[in-house]
Amino acid sequence: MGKDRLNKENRSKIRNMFIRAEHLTKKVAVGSHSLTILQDISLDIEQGESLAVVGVSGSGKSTLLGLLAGLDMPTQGRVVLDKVDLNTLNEDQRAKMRAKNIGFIFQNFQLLSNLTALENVMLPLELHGMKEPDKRAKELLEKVGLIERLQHYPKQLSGGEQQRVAIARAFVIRPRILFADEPTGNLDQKTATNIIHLLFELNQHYHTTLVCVTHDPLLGKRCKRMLHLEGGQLVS
Amino acid sequence: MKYSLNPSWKFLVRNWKSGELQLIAFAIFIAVVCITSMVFLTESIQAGLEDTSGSLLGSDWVITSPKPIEEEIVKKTHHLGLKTTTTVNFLTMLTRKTTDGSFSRHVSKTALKRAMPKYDEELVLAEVQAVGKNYPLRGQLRTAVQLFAKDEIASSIPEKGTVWLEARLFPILGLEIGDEVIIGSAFFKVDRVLTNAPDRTLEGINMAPRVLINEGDLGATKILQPGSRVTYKLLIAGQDENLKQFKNWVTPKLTPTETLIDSRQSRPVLNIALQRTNRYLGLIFLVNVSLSGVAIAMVARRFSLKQFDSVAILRCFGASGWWILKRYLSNLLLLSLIVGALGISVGLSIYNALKSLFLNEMLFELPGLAITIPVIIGLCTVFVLLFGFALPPLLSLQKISPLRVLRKDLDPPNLSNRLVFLFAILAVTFLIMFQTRDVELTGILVLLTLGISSVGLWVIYGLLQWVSRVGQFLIPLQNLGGIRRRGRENALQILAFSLVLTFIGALFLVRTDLLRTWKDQIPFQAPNYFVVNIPPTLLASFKAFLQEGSINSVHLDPVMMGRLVSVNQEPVKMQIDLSNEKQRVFTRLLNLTWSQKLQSDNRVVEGQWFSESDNGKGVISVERGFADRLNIKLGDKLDFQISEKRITAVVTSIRTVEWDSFQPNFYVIFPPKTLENLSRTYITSFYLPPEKINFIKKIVQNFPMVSVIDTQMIVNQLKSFFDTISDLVQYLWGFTLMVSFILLFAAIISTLDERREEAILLRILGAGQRQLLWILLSEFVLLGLLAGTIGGISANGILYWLSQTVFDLPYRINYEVLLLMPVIGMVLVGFGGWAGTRSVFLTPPYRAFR
Ligand SMILES: Nc1ncnc2c1ncn2[C@@H]1O[C@H](COP(=O)(O)OP(=O)(O)O)[C@@H](O)[C@H]1O
Ligand SMILES: [Mg+2]
Repeated sequence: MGKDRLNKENRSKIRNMFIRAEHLTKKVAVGSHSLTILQDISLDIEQGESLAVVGVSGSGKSTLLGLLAGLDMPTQGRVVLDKVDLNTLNEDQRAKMRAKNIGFIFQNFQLLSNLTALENVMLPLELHGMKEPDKRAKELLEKVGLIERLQHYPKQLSGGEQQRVAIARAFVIRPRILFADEPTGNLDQKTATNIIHLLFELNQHYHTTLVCVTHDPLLGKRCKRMLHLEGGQLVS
Repeated sequence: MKYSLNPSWKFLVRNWKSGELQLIAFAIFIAVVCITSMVFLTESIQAGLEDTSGSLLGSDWVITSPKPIEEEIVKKTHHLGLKTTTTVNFLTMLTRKTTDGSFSRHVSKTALKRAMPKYDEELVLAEVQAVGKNYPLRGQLRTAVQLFAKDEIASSIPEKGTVWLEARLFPILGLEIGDEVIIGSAFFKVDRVLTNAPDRTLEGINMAPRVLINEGDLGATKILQPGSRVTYKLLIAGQDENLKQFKNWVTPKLTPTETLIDSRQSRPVLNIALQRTNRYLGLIFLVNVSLSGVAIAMVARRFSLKQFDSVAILRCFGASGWWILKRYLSNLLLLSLIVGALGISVGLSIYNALKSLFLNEMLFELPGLAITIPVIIGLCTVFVLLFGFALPPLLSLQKISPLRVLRKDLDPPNLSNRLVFLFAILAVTFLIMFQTRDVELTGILVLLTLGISSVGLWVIYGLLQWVSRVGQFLIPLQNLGGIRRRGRENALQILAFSLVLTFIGALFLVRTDLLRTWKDQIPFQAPNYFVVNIPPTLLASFKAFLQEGSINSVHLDPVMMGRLVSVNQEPVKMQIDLSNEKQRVFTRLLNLTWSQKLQSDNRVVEGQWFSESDNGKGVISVERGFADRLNIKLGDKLDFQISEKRITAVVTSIRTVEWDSFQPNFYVIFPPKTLENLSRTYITSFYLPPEKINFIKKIVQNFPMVSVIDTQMIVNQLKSFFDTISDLVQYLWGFTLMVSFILLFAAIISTLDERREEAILLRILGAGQRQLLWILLSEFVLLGLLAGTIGGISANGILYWLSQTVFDLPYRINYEVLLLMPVIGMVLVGFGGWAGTRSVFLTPPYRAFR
């Protein structure tokens, strides 16, 4: 009942908001007692906005990102993504939603090691059932400057190159929202700067909503808005 | 273009590179090769065995009659789709045509008038068999082109105008290939030496040597006159159901002079052997399927573990659980179909190779339809292995949370595999049922395996905990902690090792025991000649003559002809159902004997064998079948008419007799002295090596009144039967070893990743290569020791149980296996583990990290 009321009150607001998190709490069972990782987090993200969530390691950034992207379910509260309450979807429905709307970039790249660079980029397109996946994949790999490395396996690429492949993979479906979890965490300063540059260039080009989780202040500053996370709570 | 490939093909090609799929494919391939070639072999040996038991008749069933078989009966067999052929058998005098051709017909007629068996330089009583074109329906007709030349299977019957003669006729008649002999009024060219013809039985009247002619020549011999003693036979072979149907139809139609004989009923020894073989093969089959199944499950588990990260990424990018499952499913299906088809064809070629190499004589060409059975079982094997063993570990992939991309420690919730497990058991059960067609055996085997695995896992797990705790004080091994740490993996690993060692041990034991028992059943130098009608006056000189021919320690039994007159004062004619052939036999003359000692192949099952004090008394020992058929009990009074005398005797014991022991055997035995003054002859049997066949001629020349019966052919048939079984058992044993090694390998690599990580860490922390190898080796040796101990004990346990319930053989604990298995385990697992994981330590830690 309470939820319904909340729905009515905020309906107009929700319409403008692309992502809205309401009172997110995440608890996990550790042995016999439960541990609170996130506590009562509410936030709104507008369409086309870029948001950075910064905090020290262990503050709950990845957990929050997982909840916002529908990879995980909150213990309390809810996430409304593009007018859909994620709590009402099951795992496969959320997967479908991700396939259509969401791109990911990770700290450790998360490329499939037995696929070539091109195949890795083609993967989301194939999942999406798109035609001529190789054409679009090549287009993006050209944009990230790896047109010469199409047939290389992740092992044959440097860290920065792997992250470029990951960025190409993230943008290839033209996602409406992109989640990045410490995209520069595994890279040296110079490479990190290049990657950040590339990321925002493509973000602008495709008008993607960007949610960036990082402890890198450089990356944080590039975003329009920055939120601080400390011990699972937002601080201003 | 590359990307126009079908997605599942692409996926397969990508996964193939990861290695585990290669292993699964290899395991399925080997299992299918083993199982199809085995089923090919067993199906064909089965055909061979049925043929062998039929080969003593030349068919499954025979109808014998003194008149030609009714047309109506022959028509019915065709109607039921049974195969038939006819033969005509008669005794006649056989003689050689001299070079001038002067030996004429009327001489042989005079000889016929004498109408008694007699061996002569030029005149011999022989059993002529005129055969039709399909002869024989079962068993083999074998001939040689020269005396003592190697024989081979005859592809046809004798051509018109030619004759095939048994070897012993050649010296007696002074014949060579190409000479001519006279049968009745016709001349025949001697074409081949007949070395093996079916439808010979000990109990029959096959005293005379066999002569084979074409049925088309029958008329020319002019022997088929009214009143001549001729036996017409209709040989019948076909499917069991059709035979049964035919039997029901024909039995009421047969006249008292016609008899229907069933080959299987007349050969109990072969039946038992057939059943044992079948059960043994069933055991091997189960062992092979479950060993490869466990191997595949282990590899598939590793494969699925390796897929966790990729699947998490796929899910993160929006793949549904079903999409992922579908990918892997179609992947595995595609793979198994390719590999299965390959395995089946390789299995077929192995079968063909083995058949032409070794088992040619006993293996029979599978008829068109039968060839589908191994193929079907091969395909079933693929699916059983795939869905029962390879799939369950992969099912957990659809449960993987996409969150794993953020948190490495998120393993899928442990899937409740009970249903899948149940399915695997059902599938394996079905396979064994299909192959052995033996419900009892299947039940026992499946329950046994289940029991062993579950109890085994439980015991091993406890044992491991105990060993690692106690062991720390006993042996200073640093890695014992490792054993406990990997408790679950190690318990599974040891179970796999133990399973291998148990099955190897058990099969080894069954194999040796089974073969030994079989060997005991067929004496290698079984008597191949019987000599009957030895008069008492010549007893001493006959013995001396045999000794001269270096045939020693022969035993001569007295034989008297007598008729059973009454049982407990009731005349025997009234008790016997005259329409029953089996009972009617006993109204004929019986062979009686006396003996002080119980013959070695006889066993008293009721009452007591004679003591010295019984000598001269009216007591007898009767054979069990005889007693059963005439309903004779211990203590019954039997009256015999022997020559002029009437003798009354009380039954004091009932015996069983090995009719296939090739010793003279008797339904009724008296103690010594009771029959002493009655007229009698003597009978004996002995083994004569084939090359000494001339000695028979000498016997016949020196003792013209005795008759020699040749049983070599029957002995040969039995021998080749047992030889083939033991050969086959050896090959199947080899297959099982191969499957065992696959499982061993699968088990070893199942913990390879954990070991690799641990080793790399230890190397970074400064452990030397030697130190690491030592840790690794000692851990594997310890695992091998445990598995070997368990294997040795459970192999003995299994065998004890099997010997009691399935094989009906005596068994005592085999200490060699008990002691050797731990050693074998240590060596095998130690070496295998070392060889399998060695590479981990040879790569520098830096490269290993990439
Ligand atoms: N499933 C879980 N079980 C136990 N602890 C967890 C679990 N998920 C997260 N944590 C803990 O919650 C805290 C926040 O984790 P995380 O969101 O990964 O932090 P960050 O990404 O900011 O470094 C960490 O201390 C982590 O160990
Ligand atoms: Mg994190």
